[in-house]
Amino acid sequence: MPGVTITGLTKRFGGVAAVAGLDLAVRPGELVALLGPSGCGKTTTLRLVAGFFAPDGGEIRVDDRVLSSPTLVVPPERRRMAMIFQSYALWPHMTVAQNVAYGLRFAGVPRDDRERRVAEMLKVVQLAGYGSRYPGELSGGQQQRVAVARALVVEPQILLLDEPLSNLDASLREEMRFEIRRLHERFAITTLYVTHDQAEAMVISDRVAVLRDGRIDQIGAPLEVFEHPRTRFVAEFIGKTNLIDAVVEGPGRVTRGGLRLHVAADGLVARAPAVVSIRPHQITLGPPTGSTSGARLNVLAGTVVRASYLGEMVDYQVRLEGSDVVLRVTGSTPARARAGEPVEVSVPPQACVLLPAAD
Amino acid sequence: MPHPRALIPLLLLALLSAAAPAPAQDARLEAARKEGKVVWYTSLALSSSEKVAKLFETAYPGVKVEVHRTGSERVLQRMMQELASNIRNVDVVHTSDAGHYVLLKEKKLLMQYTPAGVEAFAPGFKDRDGYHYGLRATVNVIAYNTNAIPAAEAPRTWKDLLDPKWRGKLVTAHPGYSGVIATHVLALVNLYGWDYFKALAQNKPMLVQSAVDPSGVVASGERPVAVDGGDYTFYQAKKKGNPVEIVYPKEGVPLVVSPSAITSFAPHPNAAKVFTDFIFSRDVQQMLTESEGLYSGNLQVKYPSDKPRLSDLKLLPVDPEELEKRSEEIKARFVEFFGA
Amino acid sequence: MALACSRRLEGLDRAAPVWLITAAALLLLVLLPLGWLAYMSVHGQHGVTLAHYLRVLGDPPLQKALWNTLVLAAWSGLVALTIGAPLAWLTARTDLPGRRTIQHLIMASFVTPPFLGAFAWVMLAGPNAGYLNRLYRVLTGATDPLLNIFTMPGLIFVVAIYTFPYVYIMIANTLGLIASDLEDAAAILGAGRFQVAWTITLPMVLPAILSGFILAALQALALFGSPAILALPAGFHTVTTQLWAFFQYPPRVEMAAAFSMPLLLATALLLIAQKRLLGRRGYAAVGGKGAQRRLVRLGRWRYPALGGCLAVLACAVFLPYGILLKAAFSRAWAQPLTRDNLTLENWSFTFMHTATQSAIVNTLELGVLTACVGAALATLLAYVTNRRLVPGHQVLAFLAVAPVVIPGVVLAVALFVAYSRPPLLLYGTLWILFLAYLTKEMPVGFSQSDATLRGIHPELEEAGRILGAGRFRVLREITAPLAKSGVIATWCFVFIGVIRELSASIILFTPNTKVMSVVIFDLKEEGQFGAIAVLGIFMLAMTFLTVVLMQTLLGRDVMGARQSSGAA
Repeated sequence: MPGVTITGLTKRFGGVAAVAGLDLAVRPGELVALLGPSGCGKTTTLRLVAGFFAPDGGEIRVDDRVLSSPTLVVPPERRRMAMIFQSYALWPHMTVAQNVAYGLRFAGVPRDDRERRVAEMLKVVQLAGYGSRYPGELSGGQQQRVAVARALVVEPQILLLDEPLSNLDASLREEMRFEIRRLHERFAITTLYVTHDQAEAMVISDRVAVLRDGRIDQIGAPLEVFEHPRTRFVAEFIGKTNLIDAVVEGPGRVTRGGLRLHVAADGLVARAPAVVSIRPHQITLGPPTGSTSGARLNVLAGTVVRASYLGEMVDYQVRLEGSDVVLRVTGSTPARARAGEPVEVSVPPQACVLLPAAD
Repeated sequence: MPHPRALIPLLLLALLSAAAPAPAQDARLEAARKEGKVVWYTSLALSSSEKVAKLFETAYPGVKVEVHRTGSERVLQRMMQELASNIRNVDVVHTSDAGHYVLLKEKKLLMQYTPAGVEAFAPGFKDRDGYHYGLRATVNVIAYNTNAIPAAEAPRTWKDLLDPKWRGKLVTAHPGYSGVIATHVLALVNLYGWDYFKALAQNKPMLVQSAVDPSGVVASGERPVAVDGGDYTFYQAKKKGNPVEIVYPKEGVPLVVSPSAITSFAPHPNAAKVFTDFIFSRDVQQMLTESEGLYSGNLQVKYPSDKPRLSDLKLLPVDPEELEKRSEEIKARFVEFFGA
Repeated sequence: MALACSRRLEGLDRAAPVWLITAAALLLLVLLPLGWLAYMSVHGQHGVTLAHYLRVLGDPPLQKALWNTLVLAAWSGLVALTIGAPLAWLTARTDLPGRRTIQHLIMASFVTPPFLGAFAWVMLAGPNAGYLNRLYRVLTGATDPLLNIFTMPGLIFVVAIYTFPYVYIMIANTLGLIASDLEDAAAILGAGRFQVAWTITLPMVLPAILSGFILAALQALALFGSPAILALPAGFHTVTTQLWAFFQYPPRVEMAAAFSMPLLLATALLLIAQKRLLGRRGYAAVGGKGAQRRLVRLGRWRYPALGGCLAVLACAVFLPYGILLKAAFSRAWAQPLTRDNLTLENWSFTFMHTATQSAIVNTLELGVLTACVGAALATLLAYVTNRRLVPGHQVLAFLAVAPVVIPGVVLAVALFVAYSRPPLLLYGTLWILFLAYLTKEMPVGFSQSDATLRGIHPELEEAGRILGAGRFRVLREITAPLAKSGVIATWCFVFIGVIRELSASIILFTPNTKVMSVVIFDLKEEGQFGAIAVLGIFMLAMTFLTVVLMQTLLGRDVMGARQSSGAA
């Protein structure tokens, strides 16, 4: 199973750079999610890897073989890849079996083998017996599974997925996330997965690459990216977060007005600006105890501005005493306080992640 | 008495010489059959042309006649346009504009060929150099619809047509299309000058193209009076039972002799010669006069009794050279007066 | 080194040459004749000269012809609008009885060649012998005719009744996109049916209306047959008939070339205006999803409205077809249809006539050839432009519809100039006609193919390619089956357009390469109404056969309305 190496990839449409110097190394058998808002260049990157158009700069390699460069593009049909499209792109004039068997014809697989492999793959995607139906007769979820079968049956070296779940309804989407992860673990094909849904990316991928303006802001395992975002953008895009603009006071301490926070970071430069990111679920909220010092650091007093009951959790907005900062806190049910009541919030220093001030 | 056996060779000789056609003609017919067809650009009315063609094909099986009928002026235009693009298509060309043949002869586009028996034709039907001969003749006349116009009120002379009471009731064909009409216009210009046509235009006649067309227009009653047109077309219409009557104005009727010639570049020269002989033969000329109402250069043919003889009419002849020289002027001024 | 070379070949797109050849073919087809035309118009004995332009634009009769053409185009457009717009509203948005039938009959008017309609109307409204006039005189005892078709108003009338379908299609399609709720909002506030139509529907449809007017005017500008039949006998010219006159012997090609330019300019300006009105998509985009469309109830106006529609159809279809049938079977068309008058002579005369037989063969040959090549070329072009396979594909798309700017007569003049001299001597053969038809029908063919290919999502092809199929295989196995019905529709459109074409044929034909429309025109010059009627009916029969074929094969009709969709 080969890996994909992308170096300095650039693509311009008109005067605008959709992909601007993107570097990415996908390890063999790994599933990397390309995550980002619309316009960030993730789909363009995927299509460049597929070979549907040529890059303006940079290179795409599979192992040692250069597949795309500004002067040379190996056509899609010779890349030994497979792709699952957002619209599934099932051919309406062919049956399910014919759709799935299509790629096998070019791999030199004899007809009997083809039929056998198609039947097997249909079983894998839980569509056994649907071979003679037409795509128009299937539901959205079933069509999606045909698309998956069609891509996997050719045993591609690289698998590309372009937001394959976005046309499904919410519950089906959740179910299919796990299905795709399961299939990946079974077949271990090197995979690039484009999505704008961060929960999806977190469930499915080995590593998540967050894209912005045609470049990768941060790439890492889901936990890494979530708990240790390295830029403001990543922090905001993945999960909810509180962002506080502050100034370094001393080692391990930052201040903003009347607020002082202890942070677990080294190498802080005094009087340098700093942005602190705190995840709402890492803040503990409780009734005021009166002791604002002692073993626990970052115990702060405040008043609840709003408490929203969301069934699985409670979402609080807490204004900190002596400061203009309003923290968002997520807590378990039942609600510990109502709007207007004083509370005490406690923030572990490890939960305070420092981000570069300027992006 | 001579011995009977001595008569046999004589008898044989007599039989042979009677039965065998002249060897030269035989060879030509053979060659014609090999060529397979003759291409005829003709301005003779379509039905008449088709009739002639069918008669020929019956008499000479194996040689087809390709009839391409259109107005005289168009015939010339087509021919010249084809030649300009190096297309040599036409064998026999027949129009009613004598001026054309002056032009064609000058450009060396005609073959010198005298059809059999044509020496006996009337003088006006023969080219002195033997390049073309008059296949048929007609005269321009006035015609009117008898249902719409009682005989007493019908126009009798060319000048009568200028009367304002005929406004909106006249139809004329076009010298830009028809040789018969081009000849007619020149004849009347020579008689009365261009002012005649200027005045005629005030009566706003309907404009048609072919000299064959006015008879249809008059017969249908669309316009009750035709100010020109070959008399043979009106004659045919009348014979078919249409309410048409012909007037031969006393001032004179423009005579139109329609020549026929073989082109110098004819792709089927033998077939062309056989065809030309055929159309000038006594039988065909007789057919043309009897059933089509035309006049012939052959002095032997019989005419139907309900048609005046050429000798009974005051004819207005037109010089072919003049017709050729003033061709542009005729068309341009006609358009100038009549609008299109 | 060898490795690098093979890698270079690996990357080469093997399909590129095909696209480039297709593009080159189009360029040649459109630009070569136009180039020659421009050249001829300034070509003098001593080099470049503006003398031709000066002569042409300064000559009073020619100026008159230009003026006549403008008048004709403007008025025809207006009348076509007055007929087409209400008809579109009535069939698309109201509960008019017999909507479906009326739509079919309008389609009949759409495919009737205007020159055939002109003939029929000569027989109907010639001031003296015309059937309607005689009827009028019998009924009222008047001596003057009711109608005189040999006038400018007569010409405008005939042109309008055969160009209004363009307006109709444009407006009906747009009306089909407007959701009812926009109109309901007005109705709730108290507006009556017609007020709603006037104040709400009308402004939304305005771009389509103006665009329809422009289309109709464009058609009128380019017509040759109808003016030749109705204007010439009345003694006035239009630009197209004048251009044709320039080709009488000796042909004044330079004059014709120079005189063509104003016409080209006029059509180009009109088209630019139309494009501005409609934006790039080519049809009026209106608000609303077009989902819910309720019909307007006409109430007591139902039958009067129906009467109005039937009156229009009588003018365009019933009366002309009726008189053609009568003339085909009569000895003398103007005489009443008695047993004496009834005859099959016209049929035998027409079909026995060798010129007719070869013309029919020529027409069919050219029709089939042009339709096949045209459909293939149009589909390839639509593919190349839709998938952006060559740089400058926008220019290609523009060129593919550019010929609509060129009136048939002008195109013929250009082709004559381009191909009547070595090395490309095509004049005198069927090939020059083929080229004329191909160029002329390309816009229609391309629009149809373009619409077809837009409906095929590029991802369907990409899915095939990533699985290992090369470009041509994808075209064959995926695109072609999905495009099949659209391609057949293109074929039918082109075929119908070719068999009724007159304005280019009348200049480019030679005695050996006549087509049916030319024979009909020739017969007109001899006044052979019976034969004209016979051939005309034959031509109409061929057209309708093709339309029926298309409808049964594809479930749609000539005007693009799917049979399965509702009348609304």
